[in-house]
Amino acid sequence: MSRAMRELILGRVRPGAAVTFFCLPKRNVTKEKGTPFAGPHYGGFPALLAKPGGCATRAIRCAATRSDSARRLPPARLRYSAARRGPNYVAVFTMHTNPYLPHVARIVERRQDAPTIFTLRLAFEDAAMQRQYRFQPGQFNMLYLYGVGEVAISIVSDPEEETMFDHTIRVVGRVTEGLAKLAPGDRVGIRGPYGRGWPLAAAVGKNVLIVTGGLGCAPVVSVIRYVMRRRADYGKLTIIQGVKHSADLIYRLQYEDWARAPDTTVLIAANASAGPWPWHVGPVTELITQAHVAPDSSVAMMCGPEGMMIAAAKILLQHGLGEDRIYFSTERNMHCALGHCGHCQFGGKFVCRNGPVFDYSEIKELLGIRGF
Amino acid sequence: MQAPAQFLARSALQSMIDALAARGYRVIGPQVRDGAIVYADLAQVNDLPQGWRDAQEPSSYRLTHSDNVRCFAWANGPQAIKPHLFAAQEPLWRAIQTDDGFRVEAVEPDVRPLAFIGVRACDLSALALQDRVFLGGPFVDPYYAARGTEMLLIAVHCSHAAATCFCASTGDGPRAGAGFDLALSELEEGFVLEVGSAAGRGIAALLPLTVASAQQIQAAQTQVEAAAQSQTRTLPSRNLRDLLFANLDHPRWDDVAARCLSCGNCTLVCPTCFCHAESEVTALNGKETLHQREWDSCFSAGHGYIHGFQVRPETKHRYRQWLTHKLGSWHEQFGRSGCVGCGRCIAWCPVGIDLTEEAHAITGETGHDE
Ligand SMILES: Cc1cc2nc3c(=O)[nH]c(=O)nc-3n(C[C@H](O)[C@H](O)[C@H](O)COP(=O)(O)OP(=O)(O)OC[C@H]3O[C@@H](n4cnc5c(N)ncnc54)[C@H](O)[C@@H]3O)c2cc1C
Ligand code: SF4
Ligand code: SF4
Ligand code: FES
Repeated sequence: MSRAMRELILGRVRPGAAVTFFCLPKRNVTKEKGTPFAGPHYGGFPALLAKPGGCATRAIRCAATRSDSARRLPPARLRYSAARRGPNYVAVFTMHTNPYLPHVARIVERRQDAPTIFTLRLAFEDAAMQRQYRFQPGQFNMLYLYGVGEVAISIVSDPEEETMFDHTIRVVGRVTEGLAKLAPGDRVGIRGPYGRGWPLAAAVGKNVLIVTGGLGCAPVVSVIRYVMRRRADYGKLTIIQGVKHSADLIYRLQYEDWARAPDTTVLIAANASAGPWPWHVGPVTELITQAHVAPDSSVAMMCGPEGMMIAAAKILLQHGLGEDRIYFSTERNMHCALGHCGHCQFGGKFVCRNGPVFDYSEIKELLGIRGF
Repeated sequence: MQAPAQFLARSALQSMIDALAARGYRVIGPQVRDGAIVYADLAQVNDLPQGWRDAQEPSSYRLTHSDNVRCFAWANGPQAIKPHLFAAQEPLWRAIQTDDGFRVEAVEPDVRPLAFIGVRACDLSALALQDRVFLGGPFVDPYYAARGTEMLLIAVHCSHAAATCFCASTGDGPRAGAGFDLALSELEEGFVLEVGSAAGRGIAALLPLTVASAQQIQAAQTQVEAAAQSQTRTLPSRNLRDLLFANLDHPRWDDVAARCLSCGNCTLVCPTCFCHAESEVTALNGKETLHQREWDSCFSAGHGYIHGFQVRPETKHRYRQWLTHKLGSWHEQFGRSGCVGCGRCIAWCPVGIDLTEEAHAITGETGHDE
């Protein structure tokens, strides 16, 4: 029995939760193979599944209760709603928190990583929510700054850390500038986690190749830390970082630290350099050959400017790495992160829902084409 | 199985509005406002667009009046019923300052049940598509869902297609096939009525109906067929996704971009477009702030903006996004084309760009593929 169903029977609806009754044509639901109506936010009733493509076409014609109040919802009401539609309809109900609402979180710690980059360590005000909060490296949250707006930011902490989660943010505009001014004790709003993260389970036992470009790429930092903490689960770890100018390299100490870890190689390239620079001078793609990729036992994960990722992917393909072993973390304008607002579209993909991590084969058709 | 078709005399149409109101519905129906047909609160039969016809052509929409008794002898207006479910602008939540930060409260949408009279076949298809967007994914949009609460849909099969209509080729009209509670065919003397659901049957039971005659049923059938026959525009009925994406470098994109003003009218009148932008509005007292959303368009500059980079800087990119999404990637996302053949984007385009023509030119497909 789903939790939602149990709560329904007990007459308890979580405060802030909304219950939606769906009245679906029977032909659209199945008890066997299908997609659960339930995501992390839903409970289905009874154990019905949506047939592929059949969910919710003309679905909602029944009732949605108001949120915020706990009230009794007799199952009879569901059956009544369905019966009103006719014998070919069945009632399904989902309980979910309004996915548009941010939850208040407190800044526990703030760290300045570089002149324009800082890290916030956050915890939800609601302790129960913090305990239940789960995410995968590569997933992101929507961070809300009071009165200014929401932005998409990757989660960089370890998923096993239960008391807090971290965001590393670069100041580029209105919201990020405002976030940079906050201090420990200040509050932000959080919705998430969203999207599909890195394929870390599939990469177990394999060599992991990380390629990043530009100024400190938060999404891959989460992978590096994840693998470092579970060193025995993965093969060789190779970190390739490219910057335009040697002065752009942030986390220099961090890289040196990583380079000393067992079975780990750090390769850094700057297109131009000044001062003492122990690493490569030239495009980052030149380092990939040095990395000695074993095509059968490697997975590549990349983040950074799309041009750099595409160039790197081409070389990896030449080295025999499969298209489904090359992963990109992508960015598009985001407002809802729920698959509703349309801004993050990349051809037929919603970056917020189908991504932000994609394998090469999924997006190669439109990669590098201006306008998508 | 199909119950015999019934008939509602023209003089008894008010009884339908009254029955819906008595059942607690907020009744919405077509009316003439500022030279166009719009769906608004309807109390009286007299407010229906009796005697009005619409003449639609690329970049042109005109209403004309005659003493014809018919109230539904027109094709459509600038908006389908979309704004009543997916509001053009609406508050989502407010954040209220507290001593140590702020708290967030949802803004509850008005959930009074809606009953629509005069919904078109293409509007019903578009509604089913918007349901997939807002209700069919892993996250249900509670604002959209709340307005669909107990909604009742009374369709009117089209008898007079506009020159811009091409629903017959997309398979969405002019006859409403599914998704209605009641459907009407308008004849001079009244309406042939079909029941589409148990809720519709409940309303029908409150009306002074008679059994429709064979001639009436035949006349209703003939006029909807004539409306289909009269359509001259077509979209290729096959899935154009691969053809469109195989032709991203087609010179026609430059050609259409030279004509397109990038105004976004097409996306704002389209009954299936779902893009919206969220923003904050701070209250005058400075103690709270409202988070709202409003319709956005892939023709707007903000749509493809990421810091330091514009994904779609040129009109060509924006028109190509619109067409490849509408007729192409919709298939991947929602299982069918995003176009229901209503023709609004043709009539309301200030320079008369016709997406059927562009689609034919770019895909090389003719309309009548066997
Ligand atoms: C999946 C994902 C993960 C991200 N992870 C991080 C991260 O870990 N750290 C980090 O510093 N940044 C990250 N970003 C980028 C971050 O979202 C933008 O820098 C931020 O939105 C800029 O907002 P602004 O108001 O400061 O800038 P402005 O330039 O003032 O932006 C105005 C608005 O445009 C939109 N926008 C602008 N840039 C972006 C962008 N790159 N992506 C999406 N929407 C944008 C937003 O709606 C923003 O509110 C991520 C983006 C995505 C899509
Ligand atoms: S694309 Fe044009 S014709 Fe098709 S549904 Fe939208 S407005 Fe109507
Ligand atoms: S991307 Fe453009 S065509 Fe597609 S739904 Fe949004 S506004 Fe409409
Ligand atoms: S961010 Fe709104 S659809 Fe992806």
